[in-house]
Amino acid sequence: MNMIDEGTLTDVLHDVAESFAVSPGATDRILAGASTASNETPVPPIRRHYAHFGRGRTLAISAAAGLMVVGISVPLLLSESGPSSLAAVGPHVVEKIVINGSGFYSGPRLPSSSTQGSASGLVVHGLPAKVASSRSVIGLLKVKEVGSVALSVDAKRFQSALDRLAAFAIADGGFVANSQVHTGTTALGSGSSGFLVIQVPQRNFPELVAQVKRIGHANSVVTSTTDVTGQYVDLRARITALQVSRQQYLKIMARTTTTGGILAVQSQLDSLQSQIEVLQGQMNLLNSQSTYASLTIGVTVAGSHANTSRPASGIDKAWHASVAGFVAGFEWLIRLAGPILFAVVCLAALVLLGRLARRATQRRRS
Amino acid sequence: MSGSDEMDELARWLEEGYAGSVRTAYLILGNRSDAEDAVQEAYLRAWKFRDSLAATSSFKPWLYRVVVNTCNTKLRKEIPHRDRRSGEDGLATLVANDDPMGRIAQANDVLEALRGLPAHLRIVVVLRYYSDLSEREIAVAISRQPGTVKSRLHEARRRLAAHPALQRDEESANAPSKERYQ
Repeated sequence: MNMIDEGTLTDVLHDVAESFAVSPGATDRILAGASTASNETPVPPIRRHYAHFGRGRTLAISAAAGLMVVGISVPLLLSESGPSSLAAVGPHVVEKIVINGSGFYSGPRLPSSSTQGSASGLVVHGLPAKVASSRSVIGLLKVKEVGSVALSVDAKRFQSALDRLAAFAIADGGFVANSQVHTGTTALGSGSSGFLVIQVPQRNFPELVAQVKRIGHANSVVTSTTDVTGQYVDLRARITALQVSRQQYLKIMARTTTTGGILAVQSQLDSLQSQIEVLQGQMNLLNSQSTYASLTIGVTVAGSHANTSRPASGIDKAWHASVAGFVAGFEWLIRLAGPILFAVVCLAALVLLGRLARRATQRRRS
Repeated sequence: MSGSDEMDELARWLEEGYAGSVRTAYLILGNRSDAEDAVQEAYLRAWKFRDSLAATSSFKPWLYRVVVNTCNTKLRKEIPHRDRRSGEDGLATLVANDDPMGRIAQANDVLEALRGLPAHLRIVVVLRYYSDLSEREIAVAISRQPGTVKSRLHEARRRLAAHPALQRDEESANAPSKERYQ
């Protein structure tokens, strides 16, 4: 490619540019203009101050922006990942699922001190450690405890297991709320299965779970505790408010003399009464749920179709742990992507703004 | 510094750089009256913000930066909205001198090619080959990195070399100049 000769270009440009004479009066006009301008518009001190920065100012703005983005992103990251997610669940709601032998574990993680049990079937205590450590706290709270246990028993002991479970309910001050039993048709009774719903006073719930686990082989134990104090207080307040309204309407009713007025007030009273009863029913249910803990027990005969679980081998455990780890890692990546993307977008916007501002400042300065 | 001293300083600025600035602006804008307007405005702005000169290392690039920015503003805001310049006085004035015909023809071609360049390339060419600024000084004058200046100069030279006027000039380099331009 031919490039233009630089010497020629220089000569030509000089020829062209110096081909005319500069107006002699132009400099005088500039001097006059400068004299007027210096009297009228002094340079703003703030500009004078910042004129000495430039790149430093841009760096300072970028650093501030970076700090802001980090300040936003780090709490997001911390709140979305890591074992501290227990805090997001709430201080009084804990759920654990342990499937015997498989090693799978889902639900919020508890500190190791609150987990009891052995490899053959963990005992899961439904309450968080702080709550569980002091039963007096529960006296102040309205908590709902529910759980389920999957048991497998020998075919010969199937019926006796059901009987013993019912006996536990009575012994613990509770009752069997529901039960269904299916007796198998094979000679060995291997197709038999059944379930019971046992309700016991909450203070006896952990003991009941322990007793149930001793009946047979516990394949899974799931318990959860939910704080319903807020709902309870809310219901009580709403009922109180409705009752006050009802009293007011009753006073109005006493003073009403016309038939139309009486009918209108009666209609309002009916509506209020209906609402009060609905809320009262909900509160009674909450009372019941917070008084009695409910445990659903599924009982199957060991070796039957319903019981497919078997003690896992080391390779099984390793494989499951590997899959769980992979899934957990992937979830972590997805969780992380959001905040990082947000941070990148923020940084890009700030850098763009910074560059525009810097360019504008430089243009203004010159 | 007293008011009269300041005016003396400005007078010195003007004495040293006004003519060069006007001619630079003329090559960038292609019009003498625009160039004088731009330079007048640039000097007044430079004088108004002369305190920022303390932050820069050299006066010359700084002053050219003000001039270039003013020219850019004119190119962006004023000149595109105006009717095509009727009083282009570049080469018409030039040929009045008694230069040899070939030199005038060559200047005509180069100037035509220069006008065909985009403003950002034209500016670096003018600053480099007329104002004789180094690449670093041009970088200061146009608020870009020296690498950008280098690449713009290269691109400008490439385009100038490829311009039809200069191609024609090269092809007929051996032809007698009087024949070419008669």
